[in-house]
Amino acid sequence: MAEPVTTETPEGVPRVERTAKRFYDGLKEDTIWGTHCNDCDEHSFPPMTACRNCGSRDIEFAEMSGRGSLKHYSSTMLPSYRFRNEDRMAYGMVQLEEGPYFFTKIEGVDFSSPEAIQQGNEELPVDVVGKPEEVAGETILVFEVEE
Amino acid sequence: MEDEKLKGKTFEEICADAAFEAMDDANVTGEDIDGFYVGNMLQSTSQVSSHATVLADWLGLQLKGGFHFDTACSTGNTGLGIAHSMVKAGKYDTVLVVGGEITSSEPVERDQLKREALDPQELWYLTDIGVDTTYAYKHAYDVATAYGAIPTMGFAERHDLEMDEMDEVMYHVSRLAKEHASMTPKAARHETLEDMADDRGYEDTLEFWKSDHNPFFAWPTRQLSALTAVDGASACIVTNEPEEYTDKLPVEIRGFDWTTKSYPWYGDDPGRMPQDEKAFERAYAMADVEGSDVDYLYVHDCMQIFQPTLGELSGYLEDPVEAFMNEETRFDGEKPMNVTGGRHGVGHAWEASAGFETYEIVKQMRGEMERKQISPEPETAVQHNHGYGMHTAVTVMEAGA
Repeated sequence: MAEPVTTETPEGVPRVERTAKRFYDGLKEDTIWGTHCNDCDEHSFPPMTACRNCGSRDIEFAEMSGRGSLKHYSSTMLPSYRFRNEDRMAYGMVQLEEGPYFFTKIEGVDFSSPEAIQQGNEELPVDVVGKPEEVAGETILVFEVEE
Repeated sequence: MEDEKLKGKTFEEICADAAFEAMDDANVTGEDIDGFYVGNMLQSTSQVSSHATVLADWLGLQLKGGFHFDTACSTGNTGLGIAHSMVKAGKYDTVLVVGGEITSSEPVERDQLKREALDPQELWYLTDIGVDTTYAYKHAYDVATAYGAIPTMGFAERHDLEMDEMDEVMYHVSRLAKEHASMTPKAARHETLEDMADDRGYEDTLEFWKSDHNPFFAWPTRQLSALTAVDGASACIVTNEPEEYTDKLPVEIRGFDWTTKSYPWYGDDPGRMPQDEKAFERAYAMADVEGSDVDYLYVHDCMQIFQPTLGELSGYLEDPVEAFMNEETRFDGEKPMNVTGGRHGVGHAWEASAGFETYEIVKQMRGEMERKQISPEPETAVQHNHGYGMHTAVTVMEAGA
């Protein structure tokens, strides 16, 4: 049975579940959590405490397929402070099979030069698969181009 | 705070510089001001967290109604709407809106008077907190790609442009920004793109634009299409009785709107943000205008791709590609836009910048801009700003109403 994101105390006071913790704990067990809305029937990703399509609180945790389509990517000369000690990486925009868009690290694309990034983007969209990976000391969801 | 005009000053002092200039321009004193609102994002560099109470004494506004407010880089624009609402509600007659930011240095041992240079990556760490830190920032958040590169690819796709053509559009956007900044006394940078090319031995400015001197910050966005971080402050006076104080041309706030949405900011149509569409739509409805009624448009250009993107989305430019390729957005063109010099040329001091853009709109409407005066003086102007990430503020202003 699907678990709701918001429950009630015995006194009828709403209490939200630890949604972000569930997401990051889930990645360590190869499970990708999003939510599904009982009002508009849309998925939201990553999980929050209201539907990102219609704002409803009547949402449940939903396991996502981890499949999607890479729409665009590039790579910056000045990575965020958190990633300053990481190797340069590609960052891109993925549309999940369930509908939501998500931006994260992309693997399996060529970002070795501006020309390579241009050529790579000309070949998009391509199918990608999500996988948990430790980046900058945290297990996050990255997407990899499907072979 | 390395700029000679600001060196050695505190946050309170740069805010007082801006506030006193605005008060003198409007011919109001501290006694005339009923309420004041102070914007500041980087509290670890200003070393201030109770901005209004601290500034009350520095600005001569003791016992006046004040508070700190924050919508990041749209703050000054948002402040216009807050001030307008307070005045229209009858609570106050005259309000001061102030914004200040220090991006170049930080206190040593939390002592504002002892400062050291702020590492640019740390500046962006402090700034990126304005985006979703629970998910986006952990997932390799990259502003250059999300706010520059992918919106640029999206614009090229919508207009069926080859990427070489897109690069040339961005060249013209940047060339105009730097030319306008060269005519702006308060700008951080006064060299034109032609000056930069000449200094590096290029006769052809476009060739310089495409050279290794202007690398891709994140392909297809080049370094000179991105903002320049600076320190600064700005201030505006909003009143319902301008004729009580001055015979200068008043500027009416005809309409405004704010929208908010977390990351990601766009989906099917990269660069076109639903929060921008809704804010323009509702601000125009409040003012009873359309994009085609506007004489001058300023849009947020931390990444200059948002000049053509929002010029089109706002209904101001019918064909943004032609408008920029023909430089119709120059101050003396058919469709003047971002004549300030934008956030690359003038520089960007986070919560101070929008107030500076309002300052320039007022000066343009009054005919006080000298070398870069729009002619005839604009009667209807629209100011758009983004605040990390992503807040949109749109204000419609009318001269002399």
